[in-house]
Amino acid sequence: MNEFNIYEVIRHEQAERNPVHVGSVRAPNEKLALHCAREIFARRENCYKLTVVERQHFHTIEDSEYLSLAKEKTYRQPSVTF
Amino acid sequence: MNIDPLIKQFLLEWAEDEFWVGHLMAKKVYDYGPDLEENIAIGSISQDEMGHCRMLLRSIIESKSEKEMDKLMYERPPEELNVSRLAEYWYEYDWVKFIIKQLFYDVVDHERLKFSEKLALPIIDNISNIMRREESIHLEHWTEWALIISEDKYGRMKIQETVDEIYPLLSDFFSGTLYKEISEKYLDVTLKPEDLLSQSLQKIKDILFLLNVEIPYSEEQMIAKLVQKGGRNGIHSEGFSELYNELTTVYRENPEFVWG
Repeated sequence: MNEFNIYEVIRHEQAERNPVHVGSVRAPNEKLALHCAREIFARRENCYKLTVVERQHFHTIEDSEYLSLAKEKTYRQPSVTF
Repeated sequence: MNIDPLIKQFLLEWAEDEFWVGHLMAKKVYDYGPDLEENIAIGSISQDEMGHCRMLLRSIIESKSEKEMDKLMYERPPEELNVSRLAEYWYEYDWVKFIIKQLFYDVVDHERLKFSEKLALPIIDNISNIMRREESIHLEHWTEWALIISEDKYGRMKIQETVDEIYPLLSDFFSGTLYKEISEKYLDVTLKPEDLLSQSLQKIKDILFLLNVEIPYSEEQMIAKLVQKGGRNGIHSEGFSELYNELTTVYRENPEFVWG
């Protein structure tokens, strides 16, 4: 039998709103991942579009030091001592 | 609301099939699929089938009373139930048998839906669209799983064993004179059970070819089986009584109970 893959599920609730990542499913292929995603993440709430992307196709940065600098940028402000 | 008894019987048999398919799927849902995601999907699909049963019952019960629906499904003895042998087929939590049963059922169910659409019955006009949409996804789901199982030799062997066992039940699904009588009364061209069976067998043949599995009976042999009396005559498979008793236990405890 096929290896199961992890698919990230992205729910697009309304056409004019941004899609939201809602979770993930395990499935042997894209079609079954979409079926499972529909039954798990869209069976009780309506949505406009449901997308699955195999997790390995996500491009990520996982540098916690770099990503935690957002609120501490006093060094970029000339009048503030840091 | 005066419904032609032929149409009422057709819709009631359909509701019975959906009732049994849905309830057997939901019997112990966590024991079927290979993982949690699939079991959740199976649970949801079983609710679709039960919902179809309910919509069909509402179309033939004038009062629209839930209690009347319960009585029709839970109070009639097995010999008065005309559920098909395919719908009542019990797979004992076997994943391959489960998939092949659902796959075959959705193929014949689709032929029945097409037949009903030709009749253009106003009483089910608003529900056939929902049923068609959901059933086509269900069929795609089971087909996809069957293809995955057939990828290895052992899986193919299990599928072949199951096909050998379940294939004859396709004749039982269309047996009896109901389709012929309805089509003679409502359609320009008479559609006989053998026509509906042949169309279903052609679709199943195409799927079995993809699965690399042999067809156990010729079309002629299957058509010859149409005269055998089975589920549509209230003659059910071995073990049906046990399942019937299990499914009606809660209802029999308190038949007057009404869900709030």
